[in-house]
Formats: sequence, C-alpha cells, structure tokens
Amino acid sequence: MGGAKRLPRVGVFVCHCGLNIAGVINVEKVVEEAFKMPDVVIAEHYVYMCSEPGQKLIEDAIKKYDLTAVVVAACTPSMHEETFRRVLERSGLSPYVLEFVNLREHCSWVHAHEPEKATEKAIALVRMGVAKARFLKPLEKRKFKVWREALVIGGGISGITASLNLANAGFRVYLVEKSPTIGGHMLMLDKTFPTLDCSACILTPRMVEVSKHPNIELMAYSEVTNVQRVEGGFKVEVLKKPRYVIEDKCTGCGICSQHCPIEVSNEYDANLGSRKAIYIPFPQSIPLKYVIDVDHCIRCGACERVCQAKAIDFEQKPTKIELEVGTIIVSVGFKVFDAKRIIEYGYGSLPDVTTTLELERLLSASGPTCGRVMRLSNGKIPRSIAFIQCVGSRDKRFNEYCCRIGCMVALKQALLLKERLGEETEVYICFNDMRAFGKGYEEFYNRVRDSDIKFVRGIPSEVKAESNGKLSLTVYDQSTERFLELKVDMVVLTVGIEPSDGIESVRNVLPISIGFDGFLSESHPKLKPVETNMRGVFIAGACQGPKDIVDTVSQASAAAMKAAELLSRGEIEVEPTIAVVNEFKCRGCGRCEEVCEYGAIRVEEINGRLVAKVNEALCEGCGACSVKCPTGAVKVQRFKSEQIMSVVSAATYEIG
Amino acid sequence: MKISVYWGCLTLTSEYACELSTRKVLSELGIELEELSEYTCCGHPMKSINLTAALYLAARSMALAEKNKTEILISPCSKCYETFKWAEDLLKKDESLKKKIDNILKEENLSYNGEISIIHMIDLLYDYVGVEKLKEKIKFEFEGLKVAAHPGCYAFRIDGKTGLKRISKFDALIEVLGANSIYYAGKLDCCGGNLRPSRPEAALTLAGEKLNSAIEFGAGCLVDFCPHCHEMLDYRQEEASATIGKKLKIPVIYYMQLLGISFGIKPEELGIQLNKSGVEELIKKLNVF
Amino acid sequence: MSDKSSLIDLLSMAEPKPELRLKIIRGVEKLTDICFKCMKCTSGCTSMKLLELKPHIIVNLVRMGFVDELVSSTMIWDCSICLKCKERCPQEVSPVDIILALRCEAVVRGLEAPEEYRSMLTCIMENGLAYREKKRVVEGVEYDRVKLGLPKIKGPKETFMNAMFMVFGEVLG
Repeated sequence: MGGAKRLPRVGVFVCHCGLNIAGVINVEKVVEEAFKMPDVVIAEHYVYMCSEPGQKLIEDAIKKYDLTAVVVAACTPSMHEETFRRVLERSGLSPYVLEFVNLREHCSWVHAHEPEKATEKAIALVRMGVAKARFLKPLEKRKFKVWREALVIGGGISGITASLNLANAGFRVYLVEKSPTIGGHMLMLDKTFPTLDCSACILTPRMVEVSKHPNIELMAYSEVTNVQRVEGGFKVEVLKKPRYVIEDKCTGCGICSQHCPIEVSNEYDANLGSRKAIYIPFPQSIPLKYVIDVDHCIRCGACERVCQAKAIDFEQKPTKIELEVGTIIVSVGFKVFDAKRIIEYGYGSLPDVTTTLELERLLSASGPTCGRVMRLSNGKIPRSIAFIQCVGSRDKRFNEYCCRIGCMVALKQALLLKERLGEETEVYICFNDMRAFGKGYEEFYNRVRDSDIKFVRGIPSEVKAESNGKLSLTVYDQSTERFLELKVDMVVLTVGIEPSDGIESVRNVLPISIGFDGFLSESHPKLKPVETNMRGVFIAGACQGPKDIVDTVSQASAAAMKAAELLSRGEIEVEPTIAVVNEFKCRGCGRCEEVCEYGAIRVEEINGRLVAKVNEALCEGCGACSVKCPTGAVKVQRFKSEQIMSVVSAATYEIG
Repeated sequence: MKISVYWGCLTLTSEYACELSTRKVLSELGIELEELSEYTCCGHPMKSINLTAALYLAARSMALAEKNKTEILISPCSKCYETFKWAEDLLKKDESLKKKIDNILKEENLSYNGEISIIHMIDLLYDYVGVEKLKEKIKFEFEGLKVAAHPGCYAFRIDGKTGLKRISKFDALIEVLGANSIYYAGKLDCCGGNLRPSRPEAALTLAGEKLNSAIEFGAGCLVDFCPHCHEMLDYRQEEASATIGKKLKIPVIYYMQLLGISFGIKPEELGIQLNKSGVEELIKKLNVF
Repeated sequence: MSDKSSLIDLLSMAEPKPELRLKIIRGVEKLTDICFKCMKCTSGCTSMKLLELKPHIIVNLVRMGFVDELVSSTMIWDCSICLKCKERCPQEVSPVDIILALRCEAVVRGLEAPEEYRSMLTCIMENGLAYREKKRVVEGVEYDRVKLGLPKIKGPKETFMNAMFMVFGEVLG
C-alpha cells in the first residue's frame, strides 16, 4: 500500500437482515442515497449479508471496484463485525477499514412504528459511516507471545477437571486451592444423582491423579494475593499459608490429631461434628497432610511430642510464590443459603430442623455420625421426615434465581432415607415445582415417586416445635385440596446456592464482572459461557451460576479448551484499536498513566525527554487516556480527531 | 430527647395502662413526649371500608405531628405504626394520590410533607435508648422468669429485614431484665385482634390458642407491646378461655409495665391494677418490692 | 358466552371482568400476575384452619378476572389482616392488600360490611376516634381517664367533619 496517496473508494452494503431491517427501512432508498455520498463508488443491498452469498457479494465488489474501505450497514457489530472483517481479510484488505453501521438495534428495532423517519435516520447513519470510512487507515493486528502455563483458582470438581484436561494436553498447570484439601463440595456428598454413585469414589481417583500428574503443581492451603496483566499473560502472586506441619515429612498417620486436646466445630461436616485443632478435613484429603488451625491451637505441644516423623513446626512462615501464566481459569465454587435468615422455619433455634447439606454429612460414611441418620436433638432415629423445597431460592426476598439442584437433591436424599431407615419411615417432600430436567433425571423422579415417598404440592409457611419435641408444620396440598398438618421428627430445608466468598477474594485481584445475582459473568449467556470480560481469563462451574456436577464438568472442560486455544498457539493477536502517542505533542505530564486501569501506558525517559509509551499488549483501547490528555497527544486508533469530526459533520448534514 | 406521640384510639379510650406505663417509663428515660394538638383515628379500620379515608386519616395525624417540629413520631400501638408507614410509602410513590390527599388536608389548613420519621417502640428502646442505658436504670432483675414474648404481627411483618430483626430485639429487651424469653410454638402467631370486627368468635379462638401455647411451653407470663394484642390476651383472656374450652390463666403484661417495674416504679403508676389477668400476683411472686 | 372473553368458568358460568380486575389491583403494590402458586400463603394463613380462607385462590381468581363473586362473598371478611401472607410470599404478592381492596369495592356497592366496621366509622365521624371513651372495670373497680390522672382527649376541630365528607365524595380509582 505504498506509493502516491489514493482517493478513498468506499463500498456500501446494506443488509435486509430478513425483515428485521427491511421490514421497516426502505433499503433501496438507502442504497440510492448512498451512491450520492462522497467517495462512494458502489452501493448494494442483500437479504442476509452475513450469509455465504452475501459475503461473496462484498468480496466480488471489493475486487471489481478496487475498494479501499467498506461500510456494512446491518445488525450490531457485536454479532458480525468479526464476520465482515474476515471477508475483508480474505479479499486482501485490512480488516480495519471496515466501518459497521447498526441499522437494526439503533434504527429499525427502535423506530418500528415510524418507517419513513426510520429510513431518514438510516440514511443519516450510513452517511456518518461513510464519512468515517473515508478516513480509516489500514491497520494490522499485532501478535504477542503467551506463556504456556495456566493457573486454575479453586480445586473443586471444576478446577480438578480443568486442570487434568490442560495437563493431559501437555500444558503446565498451577492449581491453587484455599482450603487444606482439594475436592470442594463434592467431597462432602454421600451419593450423586441420578446414578447414586458414591461421590467420594468417583472423585478421589481424580484427586489422586491431580496430585500425581507431572504437569500439575498443586498448591493447597494457598491463596492468590495479586495478579498483574503483562505481556505474555499474568504475573501472579500466591501466598502459601503455613500448615505448621512440614509437608515433606508428614505421613498423614493421624496420631497428632488423636492427642490434640482442642475440639472445634468442623466446617467440613457442615458444622455438625467437631474436629481437632490439628486436622485433615476428610480421610480422603489430598494432599494427605495435616494442618494446624492457628486460631484455635493453644501450642500445648502434644502433637509435637507424639509425631514420629518430627513434622510439626510451629515456626513455619507463609511463603510467597510468584508465577507467570498465560491464562487463568476461575473455578471457586459456591456456598449454600443460610437458612437462619428465614426465622419462621426455625433453623438455628430448633435442633431437628436441618439442611440438605447437613443431611448429606449425616448420610456420609465419613461424616460426624458415620452415616447414621439421627435426630440432632436426641440422637434417636427419625421415623418421619419432611423436606421443604426452595428455601432461599426463587424468592424475591433472598435470591430470585432457581438453585437448579434442589429438586434432584431432595429426591436423592428422600430415596436414600427410605433405604437407610427402613420402609416404614415416612418421607414427605413439600414442593412447588419439580425440576428433573437432565439426562436420567425424569426417570429418577419416576423411581422416587414409586418408592412410597409422599409428595405434597404446596410450600409450608412455618415450622413449629411442639412441647413434646416433634416438629409440626401446616401445608395446603393443592393436589388433594386438603389442609394438612405434618408432625414429623425431622424437617430438612432444601437450601439454595449463593455466590461463594471466593468470588469476592478473586475480584479483589482480578476485576471480572459479576451479574446482579452476584455470580461471575460470562461474555455471552448462550455462545460464550466460559469467557469473561478479561482476555485470557475463563470461568467454570458454580461460580458462574448454580449448576450440578454434570454441567460443572462439561463447563470445566470447555474452559480448559478455551484456555488451550491461547496456550497452544503460544501467542495472541491484539486488536490495533489501541492508544497511540504522538511523541511530538506529548509533554510527559503523566495524566494518562494515572487514569489507565490496565497499566498500559507509562511515562518513560527517551532521549532525555519524558514521553508516554503504550504497552500494546495491555492496552484495551478504552480511550480514558485520550480523554485526559491535555495536548491531544494520545489518541485511540479508529477514533482519531479527523475520523470523529467527519462523522459529526455528516450527522449534522441536514442542519448544515 | 423530644418526640411526638400518637396514642391511638384504643389506648385513649380503654387501654389506659398502655398510656400510663409509656408516659412513666419514657419520662424516666429522659424522653419528653409532645402531644398532637388533636387525636383522630390513624385510619387502619378504614382500610376495609374506603382506602382514601384510611389514607387521609393517617396523613392527617402525620401532618399534625409535623406541626410539632419534632423529628420523630412514635406510637405505642403497632397497628397505628404500620398504618402510618403504609401511608407514608403510598403517598411517596403515587403522585396523584398525594395531590388528592393534599387538597383535602388544605381544607383543614394542614399539610403533610413526608418529613417526620416514624419509629416503632421496639426500635426506640433498642436503637435510640439502647440496652446499656436501660441497664443503668434497672433496679430489679427477674431471674428465672420465663417470658413468652409476643411481638405482635404489626411489629415485625413489615419493613422487611428491619422488621424481622425486631423479634430478636424484643427478646434482647426482655433478657436485659434478667428474664428468659422462651421458645413457644405460637410465638409468631396472630392474637386475632384484627379479626374481631368481622369474626369475633374466631378471633377469640386465636387468642386462646396463643395463650394455650405459651402455657404449654411453661411460660410464667406473656409480654406484649400493642394495646390491641393486649386487649385480646389480657382483657379478654376469660372469654378466650371459654371459647376454646380450656382453663387458661397466665399473666399478660405490657413490656413497658414490666420495664417500669424493673426500674422500681410503683405498680399503680404503671396501670398494673388495670391488668385483668393476674399481674399483681406475678409482681408479688417476683418479690420486687 | 360473550364475544369479549375467551374464558368461562363452566361450574359457575362466570366470565372474567378485566376492567374490574384493574380497579382492584390498582390500589395494590404488587400485581397478582406474578403469583406462582406455591401455596405458602394459604399454608400459613391465620384464618385457614378456623374459617377456611385460602388467599392463593383469591389472588388467582382476581388474576383471572373473576372479581364479582369475591366482592359479594363473605370470604373476604374472614381475613385477620395478620400480614403473614405479605411477609412470606416469595414473589412479593400481597394477598391481604387484594382482600382489603375487594372489601372497599364491596362497600362501594352497598354490600354487607360487618356491623363493627360501620359503628367504627360512625364513631370516627362523631368524635374522631374509632371507639367511645369507656370505663374499664377490673375486679369490681371502675377506672377512667380522670381517675387515673390522664389528660382529657383532644378531639378534632369542626373542619374535620367537612374533610371527611370530602373524602367520601372522592372515589379512589
């Protein structure tokens, strides 16, 4: 593209978008007017410009009319700007001489009831697009290297799956988990629906694989404390918290725990049972290394005295580790709704009112009662149990969304209770809707209905305790139109799912967007479920939204694949629509550096002058620097003064 | 601290103990009460007859309170509190309604500007006065007294989370007196007060069941706030017993009366003699004086 | 069946009245449409056990437009206005407010309102309060405000009566 400066030759292509645009706007008139605009050599319209014949239309026109810039007037650039950029690339033009005009969201969809005015506006929008296209420069994408390592934050089933996928693909993975063991909530479960597989049995082999995999470095009991975006990816600081136990020496024998005098509530048993101040969360913990809970340890030294391997070290300090990774996958999981917030259900004041998570621990062989389900008030076996669904879910007072797993969890637990406690046990499920949507789920629901479990179509309003200790609740059963009173030994609240506290910790170091419900936001709910607003950062699992293990595993593999896309190429292409500094105008005042959120522009000394320099790998092209710059030295490509001013002139064409 | 007080129809015309104990205890706490220049119904009964009437009556009393130039308006009656908050909210949201009401208020040379803060008695005692200040004034504690707390529907079923907190605040206000606020199945149930105008027998059944629940769980007394609840549970305790066919006998006392006793104030000054349900025996048992 | 509606209740032959429905829900905070029939209101309704009041049915009948039968029913006077339904509804529907609006409509139509409400209204018109000042009798002893040292009740000025007449001249939507 050297030689003498050519006059621009602009092609305008107006899409009907089916009836979306053409149903309101007179596309022929738009094309007619386009021909009259300066430097336009060809204007065409077509029913679906993004289709193959539509794209060919543009390619042919570019060749035939020797175009230097293209205006596509169609839907929204977020849908198809990439599509048409590739058309230009194929035809030998720089993809950045494309100007995309939105005639759908900005015109036909919002002015559907005023077709004449809409057509006038469409013509004006195209005029503005042409005005800008005339000043567009043939920019090129830049390539930057990407480090071939990945960081996975969160070691539940989603983090484990993603790590294994990436590791097996040949990439080095750092898996950071804040609790002393990986496994997350899945390790707390007894059985999983709908197959009733033992949860630990299907999970622990994966956990062991993670610990033994040559490509995975497992950092348990650690947290990410800082993340910096740099060329190549991310510089990450990880803080390894002190276990006060030397990991290389600890054999996991457990003698220390037996002698520890301090007992505290065990959060891994949903606070039902207790553990010692020196403990492992579960018998199947990975890494199988003990840890001292420094908030409760009294330094009596009993563990130190009995440890054969001399692994106790009270002087252990936290260690800081620095990593350089190309991509990050965030998989920090969820937490359950705190049922104490619903006072009328009595959770927290009535001991026999429990939650599905607590019941899962009671059912679990490694739980506080070794798998014996008992009433928490007196230790006796319950003869009648009632489930209340949707506690804290589908509720505008708490969380408006559906927790997605509540129905299946209650069905599963109801069936297990019948099996464990005997056929005579009465089990009731009080529900609003029964959502058994997945593969094998409806069949499971059939099986549960066939097991003498009583379904009551109605949600109780309150749970009361009688003076004899039994729990009573009244519920209107819609199916029989009867007002029922249930007097049961135990009430199980099916609690909903909420964003985990881990989301806040991660967002302190990585500003990923969240939605109104507090879960991490994906880039597009249908087509980009694992990407985020941050390039190179992906999300997977319940931190993106409530879901069960099936969907979590799928999403984790999807995130691993997206990460692998970047890692395998070893480089990324960066949009050239980034900031550029005119070094003659720059006086090095530093206001651009203050305002840049990405650390992409720095004032440096070059040849004795202070001048701002853009780090092209980091610049996102937001334009904040160009707004702040007092001399106009910093501008963003494709949004330079002459480009914007020409658009403004075209917009005010009618006014003159 | 100077606050406006709206007594409410029932307190003014028959539940005198409510007014006596509230006046005495609040003055003991250094809170000066400013009366409204006129007292008309808060409007709650009119919610079932004519919504404009209900709104107008509420706005009228709030306008009279605003004339006092105090920041806060309280009412010892939870029902009146709820009606004022309801009216405040509706008049804030609906411009055309506000205009209608303003026009009528103008006829009486009144205006309501949404400036006054309406506070519930429980919040006044817990947040504004505070448990620490109460402790300073308490001379006698009721160790071992099992109290069935009756916060009453209109204290906590409104105002969202803030409202729900009033249950535990009420428990705390009882525990500061050294007593034990026990669990009983009927704690969150309605006393039936609002049902009396349309279904008197059902209302008494509800009151009876409430009292029965408190007795079943071993309560030594029942403590309430709102005069409507008190009328059902104390004044009509015998009727309620008869209606459900059980012998119910449990002292029912206003919280302000109990607080006053713990301050060492003489029972007659708190209207104890007006309680029908045997509160005098309770006080003797507590060996306070 | 009239031409307007595509819906009819075959047991009562009632047809929905959309304008009347709008009138009832106009004064109410949350619309009836979002009720998802979880039964929580009826399950906990204070008046359910004794009087068989089912708030969810009232909400959904209004939603469908079957308002007439509710306005002329005795059911709407069974509500104890305890606010449990409003407090606990997960969709923030307020059955109690709908019931109160139905009561007001019943009054507008001159249908039976319980005697006690009428006497409260009369009392308000006469002396501003819903009740008359009474003597309390406890264990044979009579107490009144004077005996207890309480100040005289300050009644409303004459302008109050005029205002109340204005109010009843205004119809709330």
